[in-house]
Amino acid sequence: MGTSSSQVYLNTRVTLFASRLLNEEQVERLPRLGLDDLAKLYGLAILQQEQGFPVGPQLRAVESALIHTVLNELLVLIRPMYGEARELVTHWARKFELFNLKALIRGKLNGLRETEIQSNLHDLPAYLALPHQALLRTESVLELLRQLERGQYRAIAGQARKVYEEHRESFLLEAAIDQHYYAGLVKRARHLSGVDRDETRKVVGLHLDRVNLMWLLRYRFTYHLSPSEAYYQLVPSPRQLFRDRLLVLVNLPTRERVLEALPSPLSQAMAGAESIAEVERRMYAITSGNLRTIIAYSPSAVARALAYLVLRELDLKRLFAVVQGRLLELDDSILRLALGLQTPDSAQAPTAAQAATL
Amino acid sequence: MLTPIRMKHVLVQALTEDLPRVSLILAELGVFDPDDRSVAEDKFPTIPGGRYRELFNQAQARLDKIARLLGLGPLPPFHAVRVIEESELERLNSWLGDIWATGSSYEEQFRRLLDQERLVVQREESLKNFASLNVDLGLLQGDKQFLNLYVGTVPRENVRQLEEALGLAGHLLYTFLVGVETTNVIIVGPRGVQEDDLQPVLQAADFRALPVPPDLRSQPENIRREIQERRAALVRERQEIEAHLQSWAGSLRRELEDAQRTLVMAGPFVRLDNSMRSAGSLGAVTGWVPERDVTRLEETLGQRLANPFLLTVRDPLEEERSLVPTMMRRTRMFAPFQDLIRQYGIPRYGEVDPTPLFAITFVLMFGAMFGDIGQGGLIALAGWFYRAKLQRFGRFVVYLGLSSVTFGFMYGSIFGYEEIIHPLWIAPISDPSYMLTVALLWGIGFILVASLISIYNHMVTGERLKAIFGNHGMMSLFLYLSGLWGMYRMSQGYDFGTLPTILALGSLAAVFGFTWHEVKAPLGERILVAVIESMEVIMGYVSNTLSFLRVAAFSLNHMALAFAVFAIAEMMQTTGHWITVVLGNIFVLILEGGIVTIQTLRLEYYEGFARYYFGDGREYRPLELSARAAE
Repeated sequence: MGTSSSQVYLNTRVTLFASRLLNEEQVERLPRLGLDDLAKLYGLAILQQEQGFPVGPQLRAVESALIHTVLNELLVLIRPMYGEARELVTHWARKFELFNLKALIRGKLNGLRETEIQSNLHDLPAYLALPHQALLRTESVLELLRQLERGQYRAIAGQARKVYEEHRESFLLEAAIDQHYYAGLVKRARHLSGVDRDETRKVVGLHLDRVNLMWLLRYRFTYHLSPSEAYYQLVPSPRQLFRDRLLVLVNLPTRERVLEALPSPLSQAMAGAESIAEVERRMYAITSGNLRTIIAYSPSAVARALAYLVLRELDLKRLFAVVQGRLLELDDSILRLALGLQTPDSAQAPTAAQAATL
Repeated sequence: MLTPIRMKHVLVQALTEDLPRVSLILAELGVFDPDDRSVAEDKFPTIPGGRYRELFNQAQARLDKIARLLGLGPLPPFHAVRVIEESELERLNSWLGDIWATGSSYEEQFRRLLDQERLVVQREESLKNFASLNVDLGLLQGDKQFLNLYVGTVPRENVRQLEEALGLAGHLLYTFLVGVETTNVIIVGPRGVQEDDLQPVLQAADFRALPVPPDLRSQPENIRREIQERRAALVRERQEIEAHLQSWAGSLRRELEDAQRTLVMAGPFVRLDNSMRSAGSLGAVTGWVPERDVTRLEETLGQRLANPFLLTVRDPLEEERSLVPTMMRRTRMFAPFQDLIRQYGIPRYGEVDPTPLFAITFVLMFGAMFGDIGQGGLIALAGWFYRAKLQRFGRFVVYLGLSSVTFGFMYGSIFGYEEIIHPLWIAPISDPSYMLTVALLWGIGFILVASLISIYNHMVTGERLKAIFGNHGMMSLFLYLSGLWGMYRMSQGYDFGTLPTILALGSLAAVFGFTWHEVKAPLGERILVAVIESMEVIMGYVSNTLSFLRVAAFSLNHMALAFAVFAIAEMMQTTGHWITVVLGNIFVLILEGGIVTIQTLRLEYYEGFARYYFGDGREYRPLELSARAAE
């Protein structure tokens, strides 16, 4: 990563930032907090500023504020990094750029007006360099595709054109965008060396295991894609769900068989999960527990920083879910479900502490 | 010359219907820098022109795309300006939308052509490869009874994933030609089984089919001819489309120029954005104007506005200091130095413009470190000869060259030779101690001037306590002067002295006390910060002063390099001697010239600017009539 002083600085920074992560008690308390409490405890002053505005713009403002929170922390963490380590962590942040890209493509494919699409875009810093103004100002889907072909997304532009010409819908295209992103993350983790490489591959692997399992289950059993089509959209993980294992899993005919065929720590954790949503909650707990272990014990400062950012984003998504629930006046039980907390009806999900041992 | 131009805050209140005219007048005058704060929101709750802004932005974007496609040049200057009404802008936007729809179709045609040209190249490569294979090509053509067979290209990065995905569908993939971006593949699998699974996967992988012609082997010249004909057809098609495009562009040129002019005239109203507000029929615009231009502004508004208006002018408030734009005085002589200063930052409003001091000291220090008549002359000539290419920077190079020539006369050095002319002052190598003393005195003088400027800057920007007690304030300066006094006494054989000691300790205590007062932290941290910062003041003065010894060091270094060159030259025969001298001088010119420039810049930025220059000001950007006015 760099000099030992950079490592020490980064390690110290991560340790300080890690105190901002939500512990179990704080997560448990979230559904009981009102908007004012959330604003006070979690620095969501934007909630008070946007009071009185329609719900849609309020939610958009809160989401943007939360994204900026994690991006500002990222800027602090990448300061002592350079080379491949900086490349990797910056690439992780491109996921926010992808929100905008997908919103643009969806908007253009559905013929939305420029102002309507603009209201769905996040205002991102300059280093996340999607030229969304140029894309926003395109006046037809073909023009949008030509713009994509000129930029860093030219690899998916060809597929985008086929999708438009033959299907006129964006699901597969968005899947391709996500796949491209995660493949980039794996590739950049491979470029590191020594203990940084080994440890960041663990972080990327944990993240990707969760994502791959969810994609696999949804593609196969919700969207009913064929095994080959589902496999093509996955990204082999450097951890549990590596290439050969995915080839076996996609071929299984039912969700239950897939969960049984998972490697032993995961299969035990998923035993009795009755829905994809339940699987997702359990995978979240496992990922979260393992990432906390990496933050606590990993010898690699880069891996700790990346683990922190992944967890921080997940925490802020939880905060957003609670804000959304409050603004939409949803029932507390729905909020608890969204936060992955135990409910009287669901099977036991592993806690983060239990999950850390998996 | 040293202080930036005084600015005034202006509030123009006029009828809302007159705001477009007001914006045009302000842009024509070119003296008004909009204040982006939404002032008087309570009195003027509305930002007018929302729809106008939307139309303008869309029209400008369309015109930019059309200009790029048709290669429109810059707009010729024009003088007759008028207010652009929203209805006119709407019609223009609609017309530009129609024009762009046609332009976009041309772009799409070019894109399609490019794609086909690439396919032709790929096909040619693939077919060459097929022709050399020891395989019955009949097997690759037409429908088969038991096999699915696909021949085509896939982007390189998709091959592995596709191969594995196809394996799940019972198909095999073979690669037979790996290109830079694509790989040629053959996909084979049992017919009828899982065929439906294939198409989505092939589509996802961006597979493109490449049909194999039946007579590839038997009559290869047919295939070659066909490819050439196809290539020629594409070239003809491209030429036809380009000709149509140029003809179409020609027919539109005048109207597009009119469109450009219209948008230039509509731009100022859009650029004002939230510095312009309204309440019903009354509107207001706020901004900053140089004091010397306020009267002209008022007179012009009076002449050009038919309806009443009110112009309120005031001085900037203390709390607005960071928002007031700084207009740096422009002189041709100092222009290149202003570019270097801008790299560091724009002067905060009210602080001393560092340009003259920077220019003079930079040129002097460069000359002192690189004094040679011949080498300096070459630098000056290079700056003069390449002035068109270097533009403002050319003048900078000439100044450095002339300074180097001047010091060359003072040192008696011409292309490293010190015997040809007698030094007007001293050859540095003859008395290094003297040179070091002069450099030290220069450094002390530089730091004193920088400290005085720092005190002044803090005073004018309202930081009076910092001006007196801060790290670069008056007490700090007393500390430095008393330290110098004491050191001087010691150099003359005396002790440090009671009075210098009292002054030094007293001023140090004042600095410490101020830091203590400013730091809001627990006791331990407070002590730590105050002690460290006080030590840093002392160390800073010591290190900054000694840093200027490099001025002498580099003047000696320059001579030493010349000696090295001549030592090598002496070992050569006559021809070799002169070649060595020439190459040696070139080497010194480029390498040492570059190093000296960087070292001088470092002294200016670190020992100078870091001491007295805030550089966090906002640049004065007045509203103007230009094609980029809205950006």
